[in-house]
Amino acid sequence: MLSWSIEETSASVELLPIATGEGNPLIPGGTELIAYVNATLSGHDIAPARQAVVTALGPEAAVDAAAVIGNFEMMNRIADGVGMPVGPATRKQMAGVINDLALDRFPHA
Amino acid sequence: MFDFTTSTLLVRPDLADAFRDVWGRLAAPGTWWRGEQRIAIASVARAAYDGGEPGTQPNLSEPAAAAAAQLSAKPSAVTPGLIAQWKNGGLDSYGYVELIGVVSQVTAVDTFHRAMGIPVEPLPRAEPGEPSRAIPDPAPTLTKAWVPMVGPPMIPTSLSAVPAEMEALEALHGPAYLTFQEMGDPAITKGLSRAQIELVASRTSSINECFF
Repeated sequence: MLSWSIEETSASVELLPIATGEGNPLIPGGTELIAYVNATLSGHDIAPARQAVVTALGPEAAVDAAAVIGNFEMMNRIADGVGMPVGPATRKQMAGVINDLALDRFPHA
Repeated sequence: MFDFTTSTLLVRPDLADAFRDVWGRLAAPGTWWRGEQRIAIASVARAAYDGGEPGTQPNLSEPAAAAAAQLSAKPSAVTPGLIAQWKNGGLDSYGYVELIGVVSQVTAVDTFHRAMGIPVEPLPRAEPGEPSRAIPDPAPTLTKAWVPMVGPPMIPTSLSAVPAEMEALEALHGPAYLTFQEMGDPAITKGLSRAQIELVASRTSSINECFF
């Protein structure tokens, strides 16, 4: 969805920081958002990471980011729990991202 | 319940309402589990997420407790073999799908609280009553996914074997992320731009070792 959104809006993104958790993804506030996800899921240094998002993007952004993290904690459990298959159409559409982020290292049906 | 008045950051009312809705559904009898069993599943999931021991859950079978703990702590390690093992222990496909719904929704709500630096909400008191045991019509079928679904396997049909859990997913998915309709707009902006939203989603999925 990230690549599709970027393509459709003629923006640009560096995907590697999504996989490594470090670096600048070239999206405004992206470095701070990635650090916020890292902190929330590790349970360490959440408060300063949240404050960095507030400083970079504002309080509404920090609240929305917290909600999105929660939502994808939910969606990941659903996808993994039901064994959601990766169909050929998805694989074709996501070919570049699958390669760039080495997504095939993750289990899936 | 879900009173965010002491939060230093303003929590949108629709988000608080969505969390109350999750808690209301959690306490009520489900399709395959009684309310007290749904609370027990949530309790095991919450303990397992933090790496703790869930303690004795007299209302929950051993396979159900194991499934709840696995889905909460390390969902990417769920395999068809594990699901078969739980099924052999008495956790059938319908009960398992409802369990996925409960674990995933509680995890979403709790994660929001952790991210915001707010103590997690106490689990609700179970309501009395028996599960409906309603099977959808048309009946779900097993195709390429590991659980039966109504229609082709994709996220909007993922929990369709238990429609109440699909409804609960959609009710939370909109306020917390985007509605399925909003997902078709690549430029939609809320507190975050669409690209920022997807960046957060992608990094979360990467840490969870989830393909999607």
